[in-house]
Amino acid sequence: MVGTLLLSREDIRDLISIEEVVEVVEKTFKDMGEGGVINPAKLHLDLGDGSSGLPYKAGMNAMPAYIGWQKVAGIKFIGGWEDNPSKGLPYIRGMIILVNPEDGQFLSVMDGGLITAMRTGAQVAVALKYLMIKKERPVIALFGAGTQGRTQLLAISSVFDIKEFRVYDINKDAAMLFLKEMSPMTKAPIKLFDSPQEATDGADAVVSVTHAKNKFIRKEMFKEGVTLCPLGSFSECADDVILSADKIVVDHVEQCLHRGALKELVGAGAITAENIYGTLGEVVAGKKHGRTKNDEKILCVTIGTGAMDVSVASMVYRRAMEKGKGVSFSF
Amino acid sequence: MFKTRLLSQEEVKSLVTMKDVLEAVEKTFKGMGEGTVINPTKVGLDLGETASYPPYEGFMNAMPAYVGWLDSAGIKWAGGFLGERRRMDLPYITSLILLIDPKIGNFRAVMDGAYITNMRTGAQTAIALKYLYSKKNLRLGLFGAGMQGHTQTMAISEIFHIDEVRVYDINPDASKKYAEDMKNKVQGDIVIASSPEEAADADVVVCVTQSKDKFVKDKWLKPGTILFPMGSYQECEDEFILNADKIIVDHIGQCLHRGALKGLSEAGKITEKNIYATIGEIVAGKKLGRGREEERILCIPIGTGAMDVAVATIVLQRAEEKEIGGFYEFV
Repeated sequence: MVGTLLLSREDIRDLISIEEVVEVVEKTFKDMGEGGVINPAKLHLDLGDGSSGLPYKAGMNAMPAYIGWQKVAGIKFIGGWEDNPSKGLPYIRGMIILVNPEDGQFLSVMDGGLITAMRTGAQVAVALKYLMIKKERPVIALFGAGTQGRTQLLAISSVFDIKEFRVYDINKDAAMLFLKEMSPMTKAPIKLFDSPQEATDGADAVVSVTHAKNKFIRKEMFKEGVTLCPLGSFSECADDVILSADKIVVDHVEQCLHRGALKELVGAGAITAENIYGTLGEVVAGKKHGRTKNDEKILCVTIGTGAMDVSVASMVYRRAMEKGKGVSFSF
Repeated sequence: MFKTRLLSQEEVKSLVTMKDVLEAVEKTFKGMGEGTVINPTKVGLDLGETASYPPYEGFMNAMPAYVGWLDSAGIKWAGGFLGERRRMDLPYITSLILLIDPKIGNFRAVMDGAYITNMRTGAQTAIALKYLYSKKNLRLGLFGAGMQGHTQTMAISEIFHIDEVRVYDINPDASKKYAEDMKNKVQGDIVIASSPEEAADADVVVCVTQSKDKFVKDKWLKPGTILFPMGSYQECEDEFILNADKIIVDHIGQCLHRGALKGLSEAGKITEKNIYATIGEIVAGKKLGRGREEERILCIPIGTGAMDVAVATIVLQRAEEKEIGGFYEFV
């Protein structure tokens, strides 16, 4: 039997940079727009985060995909455990498997946590590249100073020369820690804000990576010309924020109608597939225009697709093979 | 740091017998009937099995599940490939299973899933029969003499006295090999049928083929016959499905969208209302099995992730006791 390459989070950290992740994510968006990617809607296993009645406050998603430009298939199996952080354990637990579609042999099994964080940042960086009003010295506002917030900063600052990176977190200590830890890692000036409203004044883009369920992003925070990227799984945006968008761009139509920012309004019948302007893939592939007017308010929802995980993992795997990293196991 | 246990096919094989698999499958069916199993409908990734792109003549199914009686969760990612894989003389099925601790999300194990798939698929049929067929002796008609044909026979022979097997395969060499391999498992005679009709003359008819033709004729199946069409495509005529006294499945959502019922379900001729019961409901005692001896029953255990997760969990428990397998720290 052919060996399957096992890669740890530490290996992955050494093998790929955020710049490379952004590059892979952009290519995969383009491939999605051109029809080269197969990415069914993710499948959820409710371990207590839904109506299953299990006591774990957790859930897992199965996210398989095939990537045409890399000729590789794979799956990410990942979930979040709400009570883990209080036990000193990571919130996100995930693994990625790659398969060679030619012969069905498993190429690699690797940690999925770091790749998830990096590609989630990269998705927004690519979205902003095509949708943000100002590409030179933009002002970015970030809500949520956790792990996801960190990779948002790293990814966005790898693409743009950021004039000001504004951070708001409901927990001030988290924001302070973010400033302390991230300042040495970026040349973007980080500035902390006490209210989300203030942070959005004069911002070109607003990125939200929180667990909020209270619709704290209100209409006055979504001004003309702004690109708003709500990435949370729950309810970050007030209804009129979503309804006031001139364009709604998503990464995956079916998935975005059933999860995240749009879910509730879709359920109420106020938003349907017809209200989606296009996918980010279509925009990157040049099939749809991105921003066409300076005063447009663009809402961009990139909930995350298995395709991004599989394509980044595939790049990591190739690097590992070249550099002789990881451990081989014959299943 | 957390150590994930790695188990190869050889190790999995050494850790469970068909008897163990039957026991796990029966308990898991009972759990499904009682509502303690969570098993969303599997999500497929079509790699050219039916789609025109990509061209690999294969598919991968993601099958996550939670099994209450073992308090274990996981996923099987399994597929079949007819292209390069067949030319390389590799088995049709390729599969890995990941197990997680549902309390905190640690990945407890990564193991081969192909052996478990074959074993549990046989066991599903045998356990269904245990509740649908009241006598000890039976005559088995078998279409498809491959790996699945072997494990179907092994599982049934653990519970029943097989007076005769009539095996039919479009490849006569496969039938001969089957007869040789199974002579010590089957209590009675193994007859290589010269026509499909001859093999259909039995108490229980099991189809484990990759046929895309509806080759089992309604008129061949006598009163009292129980038919298990296990293939990915419809193996029996529409008439039998429409005329069967009872249709019993393992998972309603899944069975309406794949395998034997797919075509008639899409045509609107079979709906959820036509399904008499799930195997789980019958095993849990919520529904009666066979009412009258002359009933013709169509039973479709298409396969659920719950069975894979259950058997894999037993394998892991044994591996822990016997200290078998490798380890890797993914995080």
